Amino acid sequence: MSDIAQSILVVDCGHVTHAILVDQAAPKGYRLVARGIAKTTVDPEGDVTLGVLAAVRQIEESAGRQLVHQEQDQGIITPRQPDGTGVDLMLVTSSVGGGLQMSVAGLVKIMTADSAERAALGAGASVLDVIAIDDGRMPHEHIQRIRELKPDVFLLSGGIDGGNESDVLEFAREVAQAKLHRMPVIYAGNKEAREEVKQILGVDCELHFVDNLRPVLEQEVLEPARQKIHELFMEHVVKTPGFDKLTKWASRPVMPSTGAVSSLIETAARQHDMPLIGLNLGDTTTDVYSAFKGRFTRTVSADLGLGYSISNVLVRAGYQQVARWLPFDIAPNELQNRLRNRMINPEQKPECEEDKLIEQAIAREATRMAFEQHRRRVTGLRGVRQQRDIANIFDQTSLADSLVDMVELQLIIGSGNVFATIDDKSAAVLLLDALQPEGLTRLAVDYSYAAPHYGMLTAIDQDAGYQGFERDGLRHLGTSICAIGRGRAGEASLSIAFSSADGHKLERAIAWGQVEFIPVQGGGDITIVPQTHCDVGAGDGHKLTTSVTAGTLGLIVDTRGRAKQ
Amino acid sequence: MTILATSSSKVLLRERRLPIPGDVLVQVSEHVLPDTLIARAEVPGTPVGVSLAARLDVPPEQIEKYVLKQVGDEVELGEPLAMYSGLFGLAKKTIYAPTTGTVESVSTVTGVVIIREPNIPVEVKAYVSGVVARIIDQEGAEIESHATVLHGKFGVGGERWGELHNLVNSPDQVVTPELLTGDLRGKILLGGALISVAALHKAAQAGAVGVVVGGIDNSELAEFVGYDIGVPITGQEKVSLSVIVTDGFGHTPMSDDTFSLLSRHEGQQVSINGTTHLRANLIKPEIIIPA
Repeated sequence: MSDIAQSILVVDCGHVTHAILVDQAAPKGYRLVARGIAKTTVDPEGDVTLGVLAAVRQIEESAGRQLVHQEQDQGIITPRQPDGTGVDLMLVTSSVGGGLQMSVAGLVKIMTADSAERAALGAGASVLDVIAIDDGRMPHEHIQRIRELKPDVFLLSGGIDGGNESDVLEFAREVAQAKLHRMPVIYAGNKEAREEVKQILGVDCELHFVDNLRPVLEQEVLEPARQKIHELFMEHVVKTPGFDKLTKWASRPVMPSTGAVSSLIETAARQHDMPLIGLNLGDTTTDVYSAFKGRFTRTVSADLGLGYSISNVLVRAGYQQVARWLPFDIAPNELQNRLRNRMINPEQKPECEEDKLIEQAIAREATRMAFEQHRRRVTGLRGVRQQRDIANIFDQTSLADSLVDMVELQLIIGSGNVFATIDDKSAAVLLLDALQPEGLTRLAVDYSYAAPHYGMLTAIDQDAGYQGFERDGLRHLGTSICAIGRGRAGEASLSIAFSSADGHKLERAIAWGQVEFIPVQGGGDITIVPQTHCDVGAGDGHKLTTSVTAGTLGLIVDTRGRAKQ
Repeated sequence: MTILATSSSKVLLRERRLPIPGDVLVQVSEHVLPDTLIARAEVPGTPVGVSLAARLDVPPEQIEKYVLKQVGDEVELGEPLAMYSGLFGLAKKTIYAPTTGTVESVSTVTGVVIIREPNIPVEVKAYVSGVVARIIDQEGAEIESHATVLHGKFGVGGERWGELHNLVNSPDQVVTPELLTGDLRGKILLGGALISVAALHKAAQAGAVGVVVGGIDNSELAEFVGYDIGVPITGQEKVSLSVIVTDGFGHTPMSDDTFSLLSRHEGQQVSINGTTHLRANLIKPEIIIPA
């Protein structure tokens, strides 16, 4: 528990500016005092602090405490004063402008370029383009693309130490030729080529050298590049109008929102010590986090999201896949027109019931596809930092190789604006539909989209930050019991006998083909007896007795079936 | 309905640069039109290797005896490149050129002949009318013009220029093929609330180079482009005319302000670019009306 911070203001600047005030609570953790939400004010003539102050003023009104200096330009009063005004710390996370947008280059798509992409993703950046010798494009097309995309940072890698120099130097020349004046370039390639890279890029670009991502073929070293990307993120955000002022107000360096969510989910995995999946559905990307077999992994599915990327979800998933989640008929063209209009006006959130259901259908498909990509990435061969064997470097992974085990999975945490706008039942079914958990899994949602805030708090004090999230940010919907196998709708699937800690008993037989919410409270013991061809994690027809935790929806039984592996 | 972002006439500076070094073909103070060539470069063609020794089953050091072309010779796709004749002419084998290009090397070490495909020209034109304000050495120039710039919501196709031609009487009128009459060659067409793919195809066949319209059905746009656009980053589509959507998808009348402004410039030369990047380095499609 932090000794210094009794009261903390955390501000997340993203699509909107969302501020929360937390106080230290007895016996431990932080307690939410108030929150405020305002429009983010970062248009070219704007000043991000105006939106921050508007959100903080709401908090002042709710909490009845003065947080802003009389001279508003001086920002937030820190530390907290004896008269109760101000806060001990002001923390800031940001995803303004879609966060840090990077392009990366490596010699071969599935090797150094792949490592470069993961270094960038792992640092919380969005990857706009991956350049490689085998990407099918001509050098002048690379140059044109770099110019068009104008990445905030370029990560250049390639060649093992002492190995190929000519190709990575060719990439350096392409980057130089793009002539994006003062663009930060991180060089994480063959060390022997540094001097020549400096000659090519040192004059016009802001060049940074870090350790080679692949010093030898079998080793991958991502951390130095990630660290540098974090540093550059800090320099990048202050270029946003008003951010220079905001960073002076902040008590700690600004953190990327996605990095903060990643930190929170990683803390959740550690605190619960159980296999889990985290999900962050954003406007342009869908981030998936998982912790299995002691490995924490984050993947970002660029261009799968609910704002600018919303039409792309339909294009990639197909009309039938999206329409299956809609309880009304809609023509393909009408559906795409509505999504295109959302794409060009992402700030306009759905208002009518139909549009809300369409958004949820898209959320399911974006999650499904992002999760499938995640599962393929989380294998024994791939990870944050690992040794690779020469024989399996070129392996293409399949779901069967994935470390993500849906029966082993015990907790799902859903985050993103969509979960802050739908009721608990809709949220639970969305998670079940999109992720298809098997057996027993607890479902929880970040119901006020405060994951970035609490993620930042975990960086200050891991335990206190996460306990605050558990108390005021996370809503446990309940334990889902998902039947593996298929059966005819209406025929018996399984029966449950639940006995709560306070002695309340309940028995229920559930038929195939439904989602049933069983309204029980607290925790208890459950015995599940599946029918012959039904499995709830113990095998076909095998009884399972265990402890479960109910949530706001009690227990959730999903007997719509899952294909057996 | 949203209002199309507009700006009144102002000084517009546009950098026109090659992606690679080349020759700049204009001079400072020179008046340029949209189709004036500003700079030109050539990208070396792709080298294509032909393993002659292996295919003729002869030692590499002997291939010069069988090659029918010399280094520097031009060769056409399908033209005989090498011929082997053995066993008193009974065993013949001919190797044909797999591509068109120039013979770059004949290696007696590897037994491989390299044919370099023709250079690829890379050009940049002025795109807007104006005056050359500055030369960018080996890359291009900066063009200064006085113009009004309007931004649409979405577009496809790259830079085009031509005479603005109004097809409709009101911003809510739908463009049907029947409205496409007269000489449309080289013109940029102004529509109202919607345009069908049939009308787009007819416009393209008639030689029109652009369409500016209030709304469009996604399915019609996809059919015109040839595929459904996923990631909202456009401009590289292989379409014969660029399309700019000013207000939205579906039946969406053009905003009165936009329609009125564009209608006033009927018959005037304008430049348009459908390139749209909705995320990352936001780029909106544009219509440039010289003052």
